Amino acid sequence: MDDRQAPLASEYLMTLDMQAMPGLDIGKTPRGWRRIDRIAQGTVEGPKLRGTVVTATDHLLVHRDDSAHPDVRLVLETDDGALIQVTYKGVVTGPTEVMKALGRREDVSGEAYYMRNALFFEVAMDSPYAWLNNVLAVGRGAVRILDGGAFGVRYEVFRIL
Amino acid sequence: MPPAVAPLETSFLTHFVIEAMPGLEIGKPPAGWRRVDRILKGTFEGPRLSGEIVTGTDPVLVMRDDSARLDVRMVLRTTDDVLIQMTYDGIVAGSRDVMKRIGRREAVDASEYYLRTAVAFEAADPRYEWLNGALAVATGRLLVFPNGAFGDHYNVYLVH
Repeated sequence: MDDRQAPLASEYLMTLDMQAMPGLDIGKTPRGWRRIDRIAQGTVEGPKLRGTVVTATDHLLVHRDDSAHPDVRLVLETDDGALIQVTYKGVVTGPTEVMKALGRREDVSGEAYYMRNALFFEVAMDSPYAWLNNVLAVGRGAVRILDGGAFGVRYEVFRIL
Repeated sequence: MPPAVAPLETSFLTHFVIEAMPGLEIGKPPAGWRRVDRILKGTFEGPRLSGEIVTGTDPVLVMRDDSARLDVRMVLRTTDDVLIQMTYDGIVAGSRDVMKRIGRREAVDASEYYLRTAVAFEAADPRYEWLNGALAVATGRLLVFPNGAFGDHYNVYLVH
């Protein structure tokens, strides 16, 4: 009956690969440093889901301890034409120097910080992807500096079973 | 899974046992069926995080596909007397019949539904600062206590 300390089961769902536009810097608000990132382009690829990121916006907040908190709304279009709303909140933490380098959009190894998110999906009830409505997923993220200096984010996303 | 994708690593953080008060039934606003659950009492126990729940509120929303969304705010008091805010968003999903039985607060086997939450903490005390930067995930089981009270168990895991 008691399942405490049973391991958490998860399976790989998809990889979300996104390239950001230059951020809109709101500046230092009472809540922290607010920067709005928008996605220029992106792809999603996984065993059950392939497509592109149609639009995405991240109302990122950096707290006083330098930790960053993504708060994202995005829309995926699958290669068979379905639209999927994805929302996620997450956290990026690391040593102060690493967080400052990330803030300057420098290339930092993904090992140097902790970037994780929790994703929820919203899909039409008659869609072949309706099963995503009742999935909690977790992403393991890394920042990438792309050719030409653009800023990119990649999450490997797992469905919590 | 592509060979480049390593599995998700997690570790057990703590285990909750929660007993709820009778729900406050708002009824059916346009968004769904809204019921506000409050926590009567609860405890949690884990290698680095143990204590009791001071207060907690969950405005549950049951949607048109009969699945429910949880939106919980809680305050924890640890065994070493630190107050920690815990918030989580979650999903309860199952077949229509199972969800109706859960709605009537009948005992239902945990294999018949999916109860998962994404958990975040806010702590000021240096002893628990590590929780601020952590993403956690929980698997839940609904409980009906011998006195008829409704509650749940959660296993909470840190995502590495």
